[in-house]
Amino acid sequence: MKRLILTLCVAAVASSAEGVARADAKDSGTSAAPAASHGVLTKAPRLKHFVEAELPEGVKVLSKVAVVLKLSIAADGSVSAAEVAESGGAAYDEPARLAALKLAFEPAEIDGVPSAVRITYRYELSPAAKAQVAPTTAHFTGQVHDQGGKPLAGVRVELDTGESAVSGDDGRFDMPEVAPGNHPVMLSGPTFTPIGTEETFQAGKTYDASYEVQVTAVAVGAEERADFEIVVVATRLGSKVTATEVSSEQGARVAGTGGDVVKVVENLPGVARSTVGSGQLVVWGAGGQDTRVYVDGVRVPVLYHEGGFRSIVHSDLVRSVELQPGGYGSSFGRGIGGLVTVGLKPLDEKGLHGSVQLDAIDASASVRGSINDKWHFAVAGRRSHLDWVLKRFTSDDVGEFVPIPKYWDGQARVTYAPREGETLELGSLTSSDRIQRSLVASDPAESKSESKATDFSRVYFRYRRETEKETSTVTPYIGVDHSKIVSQFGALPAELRSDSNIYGLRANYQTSPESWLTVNVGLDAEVSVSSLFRGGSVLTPPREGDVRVFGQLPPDLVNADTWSVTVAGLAPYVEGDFAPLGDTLHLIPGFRVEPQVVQVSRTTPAQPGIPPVGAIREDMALDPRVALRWNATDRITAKAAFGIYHQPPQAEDLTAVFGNPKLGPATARHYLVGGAFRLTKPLSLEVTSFYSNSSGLVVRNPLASPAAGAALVQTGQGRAYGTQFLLRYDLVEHFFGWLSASLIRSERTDPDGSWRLFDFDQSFVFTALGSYDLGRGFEVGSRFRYSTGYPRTPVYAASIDERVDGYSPMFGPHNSIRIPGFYSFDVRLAKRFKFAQKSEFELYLDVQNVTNHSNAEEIVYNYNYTKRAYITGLPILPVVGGKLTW
Amino acid sequence: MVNPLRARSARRGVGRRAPALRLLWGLVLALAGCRPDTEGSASLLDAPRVLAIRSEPAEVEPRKAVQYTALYALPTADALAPALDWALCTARKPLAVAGPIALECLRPSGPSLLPLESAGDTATATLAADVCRVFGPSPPAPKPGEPAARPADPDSSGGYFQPLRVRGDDAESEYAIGFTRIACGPGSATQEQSLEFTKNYRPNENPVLDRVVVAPEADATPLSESEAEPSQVPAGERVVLRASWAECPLVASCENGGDGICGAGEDKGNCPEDCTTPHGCTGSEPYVYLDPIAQKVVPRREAMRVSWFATAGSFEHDRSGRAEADADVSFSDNTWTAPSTGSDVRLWVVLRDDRGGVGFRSYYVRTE
Repeated sequence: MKRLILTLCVAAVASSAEGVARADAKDSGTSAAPAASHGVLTKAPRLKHFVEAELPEGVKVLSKVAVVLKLSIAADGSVSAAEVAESGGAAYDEPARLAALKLAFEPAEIDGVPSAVRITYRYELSPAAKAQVAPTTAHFTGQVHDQGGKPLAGVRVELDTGESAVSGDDGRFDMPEVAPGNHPVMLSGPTFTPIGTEETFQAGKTYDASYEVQVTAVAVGAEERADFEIVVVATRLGSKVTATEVSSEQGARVAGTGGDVVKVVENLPGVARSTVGSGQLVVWGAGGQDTRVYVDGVRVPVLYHEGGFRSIVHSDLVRSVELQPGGYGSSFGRGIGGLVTVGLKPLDEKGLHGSVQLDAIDASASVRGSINDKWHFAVAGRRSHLDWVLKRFTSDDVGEFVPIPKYWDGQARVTYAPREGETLELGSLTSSDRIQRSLVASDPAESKSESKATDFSRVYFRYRRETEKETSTVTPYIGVDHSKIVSQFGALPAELRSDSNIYGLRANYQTSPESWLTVNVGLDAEVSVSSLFRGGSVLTPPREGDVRVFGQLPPDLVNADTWSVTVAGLAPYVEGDFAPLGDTLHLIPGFRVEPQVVQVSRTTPAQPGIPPVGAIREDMALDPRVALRWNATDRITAKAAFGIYHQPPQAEDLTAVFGNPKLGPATARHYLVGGAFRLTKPLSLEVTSFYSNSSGLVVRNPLASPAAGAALVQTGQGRAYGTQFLLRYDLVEHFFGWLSASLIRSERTDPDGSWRLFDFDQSFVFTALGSYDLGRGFEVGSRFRYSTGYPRTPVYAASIDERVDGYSPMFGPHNSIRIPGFYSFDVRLAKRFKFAQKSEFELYLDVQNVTNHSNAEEIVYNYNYTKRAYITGLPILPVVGGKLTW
Repeated sequence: MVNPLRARSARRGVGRRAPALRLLWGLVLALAGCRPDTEGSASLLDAPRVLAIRSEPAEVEPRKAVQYTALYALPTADALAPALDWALCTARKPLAVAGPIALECLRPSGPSLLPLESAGDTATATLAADVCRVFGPSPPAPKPGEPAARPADPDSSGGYFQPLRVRGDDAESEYAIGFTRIACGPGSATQEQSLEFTKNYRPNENPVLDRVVVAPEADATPLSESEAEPSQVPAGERVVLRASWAECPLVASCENGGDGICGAGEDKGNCPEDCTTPHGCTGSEPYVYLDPIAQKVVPRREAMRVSWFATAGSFEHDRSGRAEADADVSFSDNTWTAPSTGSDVRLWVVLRDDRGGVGFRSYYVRTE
């Protein structure tokens, strides 16, 4: 058994050594096998000193050559033996082997004791630099050190051009010939999560950089890191403005997320806590429908499945998630709230990888792989089984009392890389949600049933081309959205069906004509053609601003309408990043022009014998936007942004019976200013203040006898303002965590013009979370959340509605009381078992609301509204699950 | 509204299960939240209350008179009934208001209130000529320079209603809102649909509660309507009460002197026996309905609801009844638990149909 442990551990660090030993453009990578006989490998060998291979005269390296060697590394770190395992060419094998014998390593340790090991080492030889007649390249050098200032050896510094270098014992690295311009710089090493930055180089000049990285205690293999390299970004102002990032490794360790990295977004500042089971995303006081969601440039209608338990994209496929609560750039629009963009991983992994996950709620699986160097694929899917579990273990009528969400989703991608820098991709996203419940009561008026179906699918094609200075991306996509809600409250029916065909195109071209200028131009087009039917009461479903109490039956009024809507928008945009002072100052102006066309099939309610008269409305949205980032010092960054945003009306509102077919776009203006401050090495503070106002919001017509086709009007206004704080302790040693706090006030106007609180206003949201690595695969994490309760309208009296034999509430000032505040303490425990190279099994226990605190989620009243009580949310909720990854 | 009784029943069921299942049930509760038991029961009459308002006739044409009767219940025999303040509400409820009536009508007086002549628990009124424009399917007259206004939406039985409000003249009294179904015809309909509707639709008839019996599956003893000779029920006893009403024929018949009901397709011309002085059925009547969703005239049956009230003891359900799909059954049961000590108890039972018709009776029970 001990032998097995040793093998597993060595396998685990094998890819770690690869990250260390890839010294520079001429260097290498490794995989290892143990030389020691017993014990646990507690430290991988790490390259300290690299030696150039001396090639025989006349032998040149015309393209990159790799010689795979088997090295025996002694307990003192010296190479005692080297043999060629895989030839790179007869002329190169022996020089590489001789050079490898001179390499020096930090010795491996087994059970904490320096020990001899054998490793597989990939020695790479690259073409020699050409002689330069005139300085056409820049010199990039610098030093990498940890948070304590200690130089770090073995850190790979890599540019987007493919050039790279590895830091030596003194932490220094050197790249003598770097193409001028802006280049993303990636730093990677075995003891920290890869980080990226960007530098600007000028021909003939030397750029001496100093990089500080946060060192972790546990070495994570490169393959492993790739699997978890998901980044959650918040408060991103623009392409060049500082973002707050959370690595996926951290995100997956946050208590309460269930391992779904996308759900970490809910813990970021500016995001309101959603009611249990709603999954609604309210950011910076904007309505959930005002925040747009994109997956790799393809707009999707929702981010989470019903109930908010899971996102609609498998985490294994997600590279990054960006939450921009406001003030985002010109390349996105059609939303007056925030923006969520989910980036998918590039498919470039070799071999076959995947995962299988199972817990009480759902099961998922993913497979990723390569067919050859040019063809890659990924398939993932998930299906809930909570309904199945409950039927097996509880009474059959559970669904009568509570909505049990049933959902599944799937993603499939195929990429083809015809040549370097070019990628073609065909992909699809699909998601389906179902909720069905019914309640049979002794009173026929209280019997109710409800079914809800929400489906969407997208198929997209993407062409991407990257060169040294330019990036072009073209993504056409098509899709269908389908939703159907059918309910029956006593004799009162309600139905809403919507079927939409979506046609979209996003094209983007980015270039850097000068070292101080990056230009982004593109086209964002989308056409949606919807057919809709709605029947039931005008007040069903309720909308923001309705004065009502939870559970109040809608008025017993019935009407119906069938209509169709086409909404088209064609938005060319341009955005420039002016950086006249290098990375110190970025000014990012942008402009977006969007002619919008809305066609409706009917402008007045159907009249027998009268053919419908449709209408076309044209609007021109002019959306200037600008962002500014100023790196005042190494520790202080200031930022500001402004933007105008337009959002077309929702097809559901363009009905002549329940809405208004003449609705136009709503408008919002976002203003924000903030700063980031590095207080100590691992501790940073980010503060952002914002103000937004919106107009043209769709509200109910307050008149007793509104004009036909005007049940909704566009007289609503909104405003939101506040400040958010993020105090963050970056991952050092075993711990990471952050405190986030948001002070936000969001308001809307009532029909009389007075301001009242937005239905989803939460004036104070506080989150504190952290995770500690206990070692040996054990992790513990916790989260504390507090949020102000949503506002509600008090009931001060009630009248008896004799027709239904029930009381009808009489209301006080609109949204003048609140549901009591929410707080919850969550804990997550996990244990990872590594059982083969690149494979592991994670067993986790995620316990929400450990203190079993009864959090009020909604206000309810007794039969005559003289007593008030609260519907409470999560009791203590432990969820056990496991995930197998290979 | 979630039925608290059902919720309690569900929790009891879980309590019998294995501990491991409680975890799952916790998850279930997490999905829906936990609903509290709110205090009080609508069926316990612990304060003066208007339990029902009946319009006679149940469906009234514009310009026609209507008589209202309120069932005003007192929790104790010695309580004094206040005088009732009656008023028709002439204001239309805004679309955005979820309640049943324009808020301006829930006031002691105002321009939207038309006081009614009343005597005790009854009042009379004459519906306005434009009542179908204000509350019905006829579009309100547009103001100069403005587009045509939106007509009112029908209820789920296709009806339109004139609201009124009633209130005791004491400070503690609640507003009670009653409705009179207006005979306005169908809303937006084709000519063929209008003809079909007019031919087959008959005005609503108030339902009549035939009787309420104790232990219907045993001796089916009728509850007493006499205060002097109340029904006897042991203290703390759980008894099943059954309220019943007339069975209504689905197809009108004029043979053998008629069935006494002027039904669909019958009129003075083809069935003078039934329609010279037309009456409807006092149970679950069949009627035709212009379905705005299906856009066609469809036959339907009235659902029947029974509201139970008592000054003491407790009912298993505040209300019971028969849904439309179950309308062939002309009774509804409820279980009443008598108070644990001897007392005189007053019971009221109110029967409502889908189209706004109301019938009621009161009973006396002595527990020993």
